[in-house]
Amino acid sequence: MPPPDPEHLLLQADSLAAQPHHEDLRRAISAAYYGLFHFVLTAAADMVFGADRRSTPRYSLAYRSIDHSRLRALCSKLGGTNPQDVPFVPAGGFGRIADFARISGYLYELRNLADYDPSRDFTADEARVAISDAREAITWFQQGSQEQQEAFLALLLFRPR
Amino acid sequence: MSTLNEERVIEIAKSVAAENNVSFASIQTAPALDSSGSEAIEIKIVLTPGSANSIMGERSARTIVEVIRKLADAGEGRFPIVRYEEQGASAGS
Repeated sequence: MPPPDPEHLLLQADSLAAQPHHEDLRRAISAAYYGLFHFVLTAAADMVFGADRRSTPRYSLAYRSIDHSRLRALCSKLGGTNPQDVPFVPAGGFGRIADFARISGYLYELRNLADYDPSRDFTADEARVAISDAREAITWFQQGSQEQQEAFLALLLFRPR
Repeated sequence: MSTLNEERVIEIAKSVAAENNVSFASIQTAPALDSSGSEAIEIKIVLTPGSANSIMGERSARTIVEVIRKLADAGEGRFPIVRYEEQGASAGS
């Protein structure tokens, strides 16, 4: 079974954002984050085992080795202009990948509010913006150099002792 | 954790929004908590009526990214949770 298709999750988010109920808007924001999350999990596991191994157990192991808190922690380190507390930085910096990380951290926080905070309200516009932010972030990741992408994914997958 | 005063946070957010041609009526801040329970800051960008569609895509994302980056560079320890709301819009509508 292939991993979840990020674009399908974003299309699902589009559909939910067009619905009138606040529960749908919450799920739209959550789906926008999950589109981004599964995009980066796929990129990481593809880097380790290759896209042609997506149906293998070892691919699933790499895919499932990254959790939300791991992604959130890495994104926090790339919030400022100069990355903080990372073991290495690509020669030219993280470039657009750092912007991908900032949006990922942001959408993670928004998704937590959407999923768990009953006092927070959301508008349809807010949901649609979150979805467009997710799409933009994925484009930015794809615009990063191979070195930048691999550096980010390696930091996501592996932790130094 | 170091924090900037509210005026400075709003000043940074306004300058970023203006640089990205976001048509806003005002910017407000409020205390918030992030997913780990740590202090965060909500930054609400109140958009002028009818301008929500114009920020979809790079304009919105670029604004969020720059607010996060510039606040971090200025030493703000609270994570900014940016939200857009069109002036006069009601939640759930």
